[in-house]
Amino acid sequence: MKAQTKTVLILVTSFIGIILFFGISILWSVSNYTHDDFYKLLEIRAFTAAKINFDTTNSSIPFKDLQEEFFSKLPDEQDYFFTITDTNSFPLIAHKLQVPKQFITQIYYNKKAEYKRKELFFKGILYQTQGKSHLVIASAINNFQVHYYDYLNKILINTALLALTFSLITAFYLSKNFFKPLKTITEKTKLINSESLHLRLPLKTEKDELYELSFTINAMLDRIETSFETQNNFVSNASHELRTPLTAIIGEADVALSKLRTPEEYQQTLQIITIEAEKLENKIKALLFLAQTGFNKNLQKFESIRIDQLLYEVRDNLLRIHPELKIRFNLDLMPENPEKLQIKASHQLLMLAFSNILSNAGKYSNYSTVVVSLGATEKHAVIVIKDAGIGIPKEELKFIYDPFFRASNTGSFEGYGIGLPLAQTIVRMHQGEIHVSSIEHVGTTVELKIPILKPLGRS
Amino acid sequence: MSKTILFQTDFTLDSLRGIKKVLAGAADSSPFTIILVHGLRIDDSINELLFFNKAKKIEQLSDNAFKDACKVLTNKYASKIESLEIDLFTGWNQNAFTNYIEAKAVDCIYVIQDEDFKAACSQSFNLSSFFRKSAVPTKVLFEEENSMLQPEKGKLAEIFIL
Repeated sequence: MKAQTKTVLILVTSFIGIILFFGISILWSVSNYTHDDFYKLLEIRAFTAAKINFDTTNSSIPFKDLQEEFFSKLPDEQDYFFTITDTNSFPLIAHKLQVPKQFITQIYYNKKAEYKRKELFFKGILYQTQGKSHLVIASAINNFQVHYYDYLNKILINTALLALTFSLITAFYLSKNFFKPLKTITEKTKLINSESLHLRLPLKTEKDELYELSFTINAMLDRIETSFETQNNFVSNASHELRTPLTAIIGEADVALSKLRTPEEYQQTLQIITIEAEKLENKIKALLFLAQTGFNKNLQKFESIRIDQLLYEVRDNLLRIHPELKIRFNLDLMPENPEKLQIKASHQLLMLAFSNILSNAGKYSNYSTVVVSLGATEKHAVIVIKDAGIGIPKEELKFIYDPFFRASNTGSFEGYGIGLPLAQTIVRMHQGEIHVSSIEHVGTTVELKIPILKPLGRS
Repeated sequence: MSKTILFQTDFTLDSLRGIKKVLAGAADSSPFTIILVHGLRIDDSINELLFFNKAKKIEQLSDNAFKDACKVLTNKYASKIESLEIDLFTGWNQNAFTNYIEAKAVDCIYVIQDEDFKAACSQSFNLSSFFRKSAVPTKVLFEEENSMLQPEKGKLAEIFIL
């Protein structure tokens, strides 16, 4: 519930903040404006009153008419007139009007001042006429302040609370809706275990982020299921492969023991048993190695190796075992900079991988020439092994990395089907890539890419 | 002084044969600046004029095998190649091509004889007619047709076999 409550909290706090800000700024700016407005009104009143009061010339008469005609009666309106004789009278005046002394002094020195006591507004101006200075103060109660401001306040608070309630409901509803699909995914994924790997998450029609999440989880489950199946196949294949020579041994022994035979016949049987036992030993060795390399990565020592030197070594080794093997090196596209052929690898493992691939290339092409090409891209050393052999049928290309898989056209050739899976595991351990392309009856090309030790900058 | 040479490419590894041949045959002379140009017709629509991005288009048309193959070649002839550039030519008449040649300061254009033009996308067009009529010398390379089936066609391994 944590993420859900978090979203609700964030949404609600932001709503509160926004509404508060909204309400407060409205109140503040409105009240500011009306205050200024009212003070202006009072100022005009004060000025007019001063003029009427002090200017006893003819020009004041139109002002009086003006006052009577245009100035509405303000509640509690009051005009005060003081003739300034000396500044000592200020505190007295202030006390009389019940206004602070600063207000009076301000009028004198700044020519005008404002003061407000609750809803009673005071505006004072300094009126100078006929050589004398007078303080004229107009005061009245701000109607707006009394009636409308409070009402506005109340309305704003009420609507704010209402909006808050709605936003709470919306926030809660939204977050629930958003998190529900996530909860469904969690529930469904809990059901999937090693027995029920075939289960998949349901996908909705709309291709949004949650769809992508479900889709990716399903893809991951596909990969896991495939590797599970591969493992299962491996075990069943392995046991089948191991049983075959054992069956042959037991069969031969049974037949030989069924009746009395000649020493030559016994010798023959024992020879066959030895051969089959050796086959079994080889298979078990290969199997162990495959299993070992798959898991004990750390046991292998990785060092800096020149790939071309390694390949020469492999060729020399192979020629000792299979002198009929013909390997030609194509150095057309070798990089000028030999540093680009320096890779970080386990000598033993890579020798094994390349020996397997090269001996395969020779074996399945009846020992016609195998071409090994070398090159380097920006980050990888590229090794291409091309043979003109029997090739691999197109439909079977996806099975070549399965342990013990042998293609349908390998009938007349010896082999256990371990070479390529082993090579792939080894290449993977080196963070490399292996690609096999083949056309049946034409040949097979194996392309390997192994990361260079120090990828250099653009050369 | 480096020499600038131009090849037409259709983003297949086949089109890199020419580079291999020229560089293999060149004596230890000055380094080459190689331009691989591809003819592309672009729309007159506002969308195309405003949002045409050469780099993105090239990225779309070239695949990993092609890019890797260019790298392999650059590494092999590191001292002979000053730079290898892939560019698009989007003009539609001879004058535009002449301007292009001048801007790039191309010294020589290489064409492979009897090479079929393969369009990389529906807007591609063949530049060979422009090559023939241009003022820059065009050299023809003779290449045997490789009719053999190749399992590695289209993959990086192809560059090694060509």
